[in-house]
Amino acid sequence: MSGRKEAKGSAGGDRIGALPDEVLHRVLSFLPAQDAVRTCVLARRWRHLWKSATGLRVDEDESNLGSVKEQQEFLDHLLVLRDSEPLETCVLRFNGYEDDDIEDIFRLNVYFRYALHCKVRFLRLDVWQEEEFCDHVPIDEQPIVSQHLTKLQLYDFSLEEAMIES
Amino acid sequence: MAAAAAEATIDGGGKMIILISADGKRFEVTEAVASQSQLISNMIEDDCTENGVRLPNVDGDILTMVVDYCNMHAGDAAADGDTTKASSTEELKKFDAELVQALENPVLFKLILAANFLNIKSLLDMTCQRVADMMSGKTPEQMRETFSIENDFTPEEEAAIRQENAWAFDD
Repeated sequence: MSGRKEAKGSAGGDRIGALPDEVLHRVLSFLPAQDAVRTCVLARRWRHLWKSATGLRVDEDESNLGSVKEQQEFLDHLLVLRDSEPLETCVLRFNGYEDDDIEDIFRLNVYFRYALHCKVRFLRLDVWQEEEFCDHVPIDEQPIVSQHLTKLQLYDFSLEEAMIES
Repeated sequence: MAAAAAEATIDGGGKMIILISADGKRFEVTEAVASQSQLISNMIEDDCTENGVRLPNVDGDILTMVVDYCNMHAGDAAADGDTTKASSTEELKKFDAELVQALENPVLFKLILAANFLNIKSLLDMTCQRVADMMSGKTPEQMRETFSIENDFTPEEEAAIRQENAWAFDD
């Protein structure tokens, strides 16, 4: 099947900006978060679109992961500036955290709760630990209650029993 | 490509309905095929498809692609989790990849608009993913070039926005 050719005029390709907001939010939801935010300088049309992207993907396909601390500034900004649009997909991957680093553990828990708060449907939180015997990241001892979550993947986290209710 | 309508009649799967494109082309498909569109599925439930479904903002060329896609994926929803369909899953992936990869941007955008209007989530996701793949890993300058986006910021404005969002522009 071949696409219909259209004249490649100066304005011919710029139909992307004519797509409705909700469609562009979806397009941005598939981008790595950094690329999505950077679209704010493309043109006026794009300035605030990233804030309502329905996906949040940090290092989803990276092999070289940043630590929780290295990603902290980026995620702090992003979560504060983002609109309250529900998240369909949230994938956050990090390199190992410092074993008893209370701050890192706190942050990871904040991200976890944030995603649930945004009615996330697919949530993946991934903390890569080089050494097998490292402690798992403990998730707060509050029940996980969500009417929206359909898929949850946690790597190297520990859940207290009886936390998952629905 | 034009075989879509003919194929549908072989399919079985109950009642047929007629889809009519903006330029008057008619496509006969089974309800099972058509109801992958949430919009049409709702219309079927409300019993208002008898005189055909007019789609005033979808061209015949685009509707041909949509109908092809829906015909290919008609088994999906029903047979979800059915492992005996493994081989056809591969086939579907190949079909999907070929469908979007060959498209020029203006056609891709029309297909996106149709998927959005007809509310076919899997097709909408696939086509939006295709656009995202064309943006991923690119600098804003390269993105503008790929999609011929005209930068309507003054250099001062652009610099200010970069400054404001410096947290996303480091490295």
